Amino acid sequence: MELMHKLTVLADAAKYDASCASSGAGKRHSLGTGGIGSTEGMGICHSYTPDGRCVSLLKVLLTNFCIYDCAYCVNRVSSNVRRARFTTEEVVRVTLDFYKRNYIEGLFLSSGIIRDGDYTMEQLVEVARSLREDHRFAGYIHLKTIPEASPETIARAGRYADRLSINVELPTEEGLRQLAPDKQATGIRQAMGQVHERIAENREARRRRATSTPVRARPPRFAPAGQSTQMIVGADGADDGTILRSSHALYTGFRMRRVYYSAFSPIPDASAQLPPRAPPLQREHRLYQADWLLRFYEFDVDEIVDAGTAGGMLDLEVDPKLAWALRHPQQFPVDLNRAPREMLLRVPGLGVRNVQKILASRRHALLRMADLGRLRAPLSRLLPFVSVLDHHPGQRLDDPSRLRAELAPRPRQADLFG
Amino acid sequence: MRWRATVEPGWSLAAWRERARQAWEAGIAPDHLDWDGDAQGTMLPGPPIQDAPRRRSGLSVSQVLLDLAASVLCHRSPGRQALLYRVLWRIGAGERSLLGNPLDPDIDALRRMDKAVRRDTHKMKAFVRFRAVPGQEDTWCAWFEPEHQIVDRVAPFFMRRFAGMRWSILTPDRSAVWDGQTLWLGPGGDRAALPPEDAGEALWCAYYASIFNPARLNTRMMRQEMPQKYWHLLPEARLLPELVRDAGARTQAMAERKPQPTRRRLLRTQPK
Repeated sequence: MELMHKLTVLADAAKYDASCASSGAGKRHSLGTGGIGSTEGMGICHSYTPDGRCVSLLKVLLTNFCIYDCAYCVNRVSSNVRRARFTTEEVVRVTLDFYKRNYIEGLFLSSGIIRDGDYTMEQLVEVARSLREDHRFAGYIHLKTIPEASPETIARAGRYADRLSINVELPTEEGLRQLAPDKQATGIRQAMGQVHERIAENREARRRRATSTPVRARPPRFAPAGQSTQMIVGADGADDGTILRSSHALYTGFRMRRVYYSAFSPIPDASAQLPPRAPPLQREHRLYQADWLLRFYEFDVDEIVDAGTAGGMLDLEVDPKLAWALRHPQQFPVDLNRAPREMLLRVPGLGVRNVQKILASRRHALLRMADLGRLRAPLSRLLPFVSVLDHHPGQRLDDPSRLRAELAPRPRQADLFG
Repeated sequence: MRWRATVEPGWSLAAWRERARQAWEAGIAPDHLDWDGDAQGTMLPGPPIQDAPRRRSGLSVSQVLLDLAASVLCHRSPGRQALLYRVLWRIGAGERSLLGNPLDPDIDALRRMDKAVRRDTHKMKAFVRFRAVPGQEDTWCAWFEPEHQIVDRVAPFFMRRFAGMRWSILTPDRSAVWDGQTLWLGPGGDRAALPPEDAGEALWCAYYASIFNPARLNTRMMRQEMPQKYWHLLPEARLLPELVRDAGARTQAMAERKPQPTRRRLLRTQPK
């Protein structure tokens, strides 16, 4: 089969995996190695498709043949999509060619399950091995990890890959039983635990060697960019509270770098088991915002989704931070000249960077309106919730529902299929 | 009396630092000094600052200011050199922690230029597109048009990344060439020198079209991260009108399609 045809089929099959991150692999380069490739900590997005998603990695499946029958997946055994399979050499060649042209940061390789989990994983590892050993490739490699793979194969995967990911797929075990009958929630979590332990052990071993006397060579790194996972949103009945609690458990239990949310969108040849209508993409967006509040803004799940949030679902009209502020008007206005960091983080319209700027700036002078202008924060959202020397929101907080109506974006045209 | 400071080339930290040191040592206040920005050839009035008599010893400044200056000097704004000198002057005059106040108008202006340069640098790392040079093994060439004067700053990144290849990056103002051993930086090039489109580019475009999910069309987000000014440099951008135009119809077709019975019961797991 022609390479271009295979690439078309196997990229098409891979696009429902949201992750394209290429950061966190640390620093390395190819000077003096005879090869190519580098990573410098921060990932690079080399292009953007019209869905607004970044193209950082060559994201393909090794094959979209699959023996599993997960209802949400375009590649399930019962789907009628076109099938293809790359050889190891083909993936290696396309990766290197795209990399040399500066189209990509590296490879994100996944696969349908062929024969069994361990066999499939071995095929993925072989591509990574060939890139690293045969071609001295120092670019980024992300390998999807098959939970049923043997510990030995997973250990080899982590030696060549910067990131490993095991998809949790659905927020609840019940959802998984219904929609992905071939997958086991316990197996998925065991594999995540295994990867987490190996990463932690490797960090510790490298740290010990680095500080030992006499200095000895450090063991090779294991998945230096950590592990991530993905959850399908809206295919089962889980509400946003359930999803966020599940994410929280993944972040704390396995030190996930990222949990990706993928609102299942119309796919070719969809299963009859799926709900007839896709959830609004806005729901996925709100989940990402809530996820950010959990990780960087010191919110708890129970604050983001509490008794005031209808049916355990996030507000689609306003972002979760603004929604929290509107439910707790008594906490505002926040005096930007005095409030502690944790309270500044709760102000709608203030990001982590602006909070740092405010903290640094008020050591020099008390803040005024003119200073807020230089923050380039959305003032219409910010001003009702803060006070500075020459500004106080007055009575605006007395009527949260009116404030909400002022701040919520105007309803947009109904979506294409509304 | 007004003095004149010429920084050549305009993005050079060493050149600016030399002029700034001379001005500081001569005690010339920012209001009495004209910086030529990039106005090459236009002679500013006044004697050159290097002729000013030295009146005091130099000023030691923090690495933070030097790093910031190295970045800001790449900005095309003609006022950047003067702004940097004003900040240096204020620090020297006693505002020792000035750099730590992000909301000071001068610092805010510097930080904004720094951010623009860093963004442009990042976009250059992302959007340079190499083409194979026909007839020469593993030799590549790219044409790029950065917004600011960043080629000298970004070239080492490409050297570290593509050490095992030979490549050149041409831009209107500067060019960078790596022969596998040495990085060479010199005057600008000509877009016409770029090799023609090849099969690798077609493969990339096929990938780009396939990885796009028409059900999630969001061109606002795309434009924010990949501004239109770069599109003429990106082979895949040629596909945009068609991909955007057809997205609605493709999504509708997927949504309206009734679930189909499986046409094939058994899979061959080892296809040829």
